[in-house]
This record gives sequence, structure tokens and C-alpha cells, in this order.
Amino acid sequence: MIVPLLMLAGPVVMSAPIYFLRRWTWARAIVAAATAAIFGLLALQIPLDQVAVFAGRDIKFESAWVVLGRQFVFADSDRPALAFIYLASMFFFAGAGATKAPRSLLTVGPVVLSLLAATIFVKPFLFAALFLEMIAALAALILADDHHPATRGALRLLVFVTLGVPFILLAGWQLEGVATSPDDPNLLIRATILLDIGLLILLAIVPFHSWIPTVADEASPFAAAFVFTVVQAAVIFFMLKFFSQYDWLRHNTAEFALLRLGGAAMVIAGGAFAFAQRRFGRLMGYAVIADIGAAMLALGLNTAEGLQAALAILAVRGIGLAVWGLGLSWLNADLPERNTSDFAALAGQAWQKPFAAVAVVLGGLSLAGFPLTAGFAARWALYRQLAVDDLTLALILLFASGSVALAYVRGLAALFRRVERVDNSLDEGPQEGQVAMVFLAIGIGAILLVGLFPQVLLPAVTRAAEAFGSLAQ
Amino acid sequence: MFAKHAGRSRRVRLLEKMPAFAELLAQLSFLAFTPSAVGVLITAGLLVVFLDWRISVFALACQTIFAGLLYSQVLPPQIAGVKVVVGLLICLQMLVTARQMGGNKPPAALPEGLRSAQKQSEGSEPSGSSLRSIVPTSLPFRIVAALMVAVIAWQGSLLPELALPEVSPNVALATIGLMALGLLGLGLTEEPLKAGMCLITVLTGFELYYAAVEPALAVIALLAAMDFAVALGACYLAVIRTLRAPDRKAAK
Repeated sequence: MIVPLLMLAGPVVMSAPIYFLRRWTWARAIVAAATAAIFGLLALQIPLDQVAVFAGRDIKFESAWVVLGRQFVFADSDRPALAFIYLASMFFFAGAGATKAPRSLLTVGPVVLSLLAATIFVKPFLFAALFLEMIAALAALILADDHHPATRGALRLLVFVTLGVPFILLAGWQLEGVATSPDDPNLLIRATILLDIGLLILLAIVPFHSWIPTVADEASPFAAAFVFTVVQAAVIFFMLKFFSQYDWLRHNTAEFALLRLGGAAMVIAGGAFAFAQRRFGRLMGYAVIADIGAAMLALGLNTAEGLQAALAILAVRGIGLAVWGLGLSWLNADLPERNTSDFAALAGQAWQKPFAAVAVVLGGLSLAGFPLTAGFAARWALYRQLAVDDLTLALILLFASGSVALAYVRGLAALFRRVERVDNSLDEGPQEGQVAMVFLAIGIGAILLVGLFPQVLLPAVTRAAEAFGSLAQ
Repeated sequence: MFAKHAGRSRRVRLLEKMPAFAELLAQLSFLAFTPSAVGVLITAGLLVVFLDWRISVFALACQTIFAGLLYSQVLPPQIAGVKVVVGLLICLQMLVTARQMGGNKPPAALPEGLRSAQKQSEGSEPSGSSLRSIVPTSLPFRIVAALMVAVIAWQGSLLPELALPEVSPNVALATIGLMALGLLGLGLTEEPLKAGMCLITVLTGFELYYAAVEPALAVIALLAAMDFAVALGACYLAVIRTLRAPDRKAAK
């Protein structure tokens, strides 16, 4: 059995029955979440290049698949990244049953998972950029639907990724030249410049960040949270592979300085714009920008602890975003202006939908790294390292986090503002629906649990950091 | 029965006489140099200048064929042929999308370039108002901008600093021109279908060059899949964009 083929084809095949179950939202969510869970467990446990007994027969699980002269290889070091992508997606797919997420999330989501796996398997891994482009195109199907017909954010994502991919491919071509002419420094310089430009665009570093707040504002909150978590994680893993694979890149201190510069720009932009927002959607977009910046600052430290902090930020971002997306989807579900996330339009909603309101605010505060939330531990680790290395950067990050947190406090005040209503809806109790309340309570509990006991994430983060071997040393 | 058999054998003979794609490209090889490079620039310019969906799709289809001729300089003819087929399928996808969008909405609710689509789907001839839709109000600006970018691309392809030694000067001109005009088009539109066409133009320019430096079959197949995915994403967004709340209420 060829393991990469199984991992690539399996979710695509499963998207067909999920599509045909389109009338039964819960059945689709369960099948999609089960698919992601099974492949997540396979990613962690499947033996590679060994003979194992499966269904009473001896089967060899091959780790490589050759197609038209190119290889898809499942290496042991890929397990944490794959498991993260599958298991994070599992939570999103399960949550899609409890919210009014776009129908295409559950149909297209598994195909996106296959493509994300392809970005990890493909050799030379530079061709992963092509799969990232396909993911951006499929993300358009998830981000816009008939209830969210605004297309600007999804189109910008598609355009920016399309513009970034050629730089990565050309960098790969230059690197092939380095293999044949190792004494030519120009090839390395050109490869580095092309790679930097490509990653600058793919990572949505300022000024290529504009699609993030637009998507957060226009798209379904849950679909946007999926894209920000899973797709952006794949881009970060892609960048980390560059650093762990190429010694010359890892030993180039200017690259880490650039990472810090890019991270600082993201943190400043996110923090500065977040405070001025009056819509939960755009506020989340700028909070994500600041969070990506924080992860880049951590990577820019060029230490094993920095790498761990970056991976922890990546892991907890998913928790915060999923809970935020779930909450906001319920908050604006019954409003006349259904897709609004405006503070004024959502005024007083906390009295009708308390679980959803708390989920939105806690999810946002977690992304800001607020104490006692899931995002705090990773940010605290980063503050401590940054304070030793560069106090200014630590202060900038602190101010940006404060700006995001204050904006959420303003949002919280709006949600709890008493509004005169003609109906007696306040007396009817919480209106989220029982299943949604269970999911929202689980999400809120997860944020608080990880906030109080961050050590539960530590083994997974350490293992993920070890997968990027040389970079973690 | 005999007559039927004779008819079938005549069809088989006709099919046998039809040139293979490689032979077709060989017959058109006189176009594969400067005329094709100029052709792709003109078609990319038309994409930038005109908003009308029929002109845009036609220009994209012509661009695909000219690019196919240029591909034959850097790739085996069979693979160049596959690239042309992929490009034409993308054009077909966009054509169907544009017609569907035109049929869904009243003209006033459509983007400027698609207003004539509904009239055509209703079977009426272009009138004065649809002519206005074909010729955009910003036409002079678009013409000047496209000309400027085309001239800059042409001059840029002659500069030694921007030289692309891996490809012939014609392919270099087409590469730089397509990418520059595609980017200009992207800057001038927010309409997803048009933006998709401009993205395909940018990608065609890049792939013309990249095919020369990385002619591996797997990479070409992946690039073709990527083009399809971009076109699919753009077409989907174009259809979704025409859906507005009143339509959904009406549909219910």
C-alpha cells in the first residue's frame, strides 16, 4: 500500500459521499470530521516502509509514490505537521454541524486536506507552492457562498497567492543551479531574494496582508477561521521546511533579521488597525495579522525556544479562531442584516445568546494572548525571550496585544448594552440552540483549560519542533 | 448497409487525412515567432481595454493559441498542444460562466462587461446601450495604459539587465508583456471573471518562461491543474457575486 497515495486520495474520495449527504448537515459534519480524525490518526501511527498485518494480510506500507518522475514522500518528520492539519480540521468539520457554515466547507474541506498533505509530501518540496495555489483557488469556494456573496477577500487571496507562487518556483530553479554550480554565489543570492519575495506574499506580510481583514469581514466567520488556521499553518510549515532543509538559509542571519522585521511590521499593522475597528470580522482579521507577526518574531529569534513558541502560537490560534467563528456565526444568525459583525448591530445580543457572545470575546482575547486564555502561555514565552533579545520588539508586541484586547472589550461592552426591544425575547432564555450551546461551552472550556494548564500542549509542540530537526537545535 | 459502410470508411479516411496537432503546429510554425509574440501582446491588450465578456473570452482564446505556438519553441509539440487544449477548456469554462451570469440578472445589476450577456442570451441584437457596455467609459485611459505597459514590456525585453537568456527574444517579449499586461488588468478590475482572465494571462506569461527552464512533465501537469483551479475559483466567485439578497428571496 502506498501511504502518500492513500493520504492524498482518501479525503478526495470521501468528499463524494459528503456531497451526496448535503440534505443532512449533521451526517455530513460527522463523516467529514471522522475522515479527518482517521487520517489524523493514520498520520501519527501508520508504519512506514514496514510490513504490517492489516485485515489478516501482510501489507507493506510504502512511504514513497512516484508520479511522472516526481516523488511524494511521507517522512517520519512530517507526522506532526500532518496530524496538526488533520486534527485541527476535524474540530472545524465537527463544529460546522453546529453552526451555519457554508455548505461547501464540508465538501471542499476534505479536498483541501488532500492538497495540504500534498504540500508536505511533494519532492522537491518547492513544488508545494503549486498546491498552495490550488488551495487558494478552492478556498474561494469555501469563503464565498450564496449567503456571503461578497467576493473581494477571496479574490484577493487568489491573486496574492498567484503572484507569490512564480517567485517560489523560480527560486527552486535557481537552487537546482546551485547544485550544479556550487561556487556561483549569484545563484544563491538570486534564490534567496526570490524566496523572500515569494514568502513575503504567501505569508501575507504587510503590504500583502489586505486579504486577511477583508476575508474576515466578508466571509462566513467559521469558514474564515478554517482558512486562517489550516491554510496559513501550511504556509508556515512550508517556510520552516526551507529553513530546516537548507543550511545556507539557516546560517544566514539576515534572513532571521528579515523575519523579525516582517513580524514587527505585522504586529504594528495589526495592533494599530485593530483598535479602530467597530466590526468583529475586521477586528479578527487584524488580530490574526498581529498573531502571524508574533509567530514570525518567535521564528526570527533563531532559537529552539523561539521555534517552540512559534508552533505553540500556531496551535492555539486554531482554538481561538474556531471558538470565535462558532460564536459569531450564531450571534448574527437571526439578525435582519445576517452577515453583519458590526458592534452596533450586535448590541444587546449577549442577553439573548450569552454562550455565543462569550465565545466571540474569549476567542478574540485568546488571539490577543490575554491572561487565562489559551493564547497567553505561548505569548508569555515569547515575551520572555524577546525581552532578553530585543526589549523594543517585546513592547511593540505587548502594545499590539493590548490594542486587540481593548477592541474586544469595546465589543464586549456593545454586546452587553441594554437595547429597547419590542419583543420579550430576553425572557425566553439563551437562544443559541442546545447543540450549539454544547459546542460553544466545549470551545469556551477548551480556551480556559489550555489557558490554565498550558502544559497539555507542551509534548505536542516539542514533538513538532523536533520534526524541524536542525532548526530546533 | 453497403452505403452505411461506405460512409463510415469515408469518415475514417477523412480523420486519417486530418493533421495531428504536431503537424498542425509544424504547418503554423511560420507564426511561432514574432507574429505570435505580437499576437499575445495584442490579445492581452484587448483583455485590458475591453470589458465586454465576448471580446474578453475571444481574446483569451486567441491568446491561448498564440501562446501555444510560442510553447512549441520551448516544449515538444505534443505537450504544447496539450497546453493549448487546457487553455481552450478554460476559455470554455469562462464562456459558460459569463453566459450563465448574464441569464441570471437584470442588466443594471450586472458588472459593466456582462450587461450585453443577457441581451444575447435573450437572442436580441446588440443595440446602442449594449454597444456602450462593450466600449467602457474609461476606454481612452485603458488604451493609453495598455499601450504604455506594452511599450515598457517591449523595451524591457531588450534591456540586457532584464534579458531572459534561456528563451528566444520573442518568448522573452511575450513573457514580460503578458505578465505586465496581466498585472495591469488585475489592477483595473474587481470583477472576478475579468480578474480570472488577467490571472490566467499572468500565469501564461510565467509558464512560457518556466517551461523553458523546467520542462518536466509532472511540473507541466501540475501547472495545468493550477490554471484549471484558478479558473474554477474565478468562475465560482463571478457567479456568486451576481447573487444578491433579493434574488435569494425570489428564489425561495
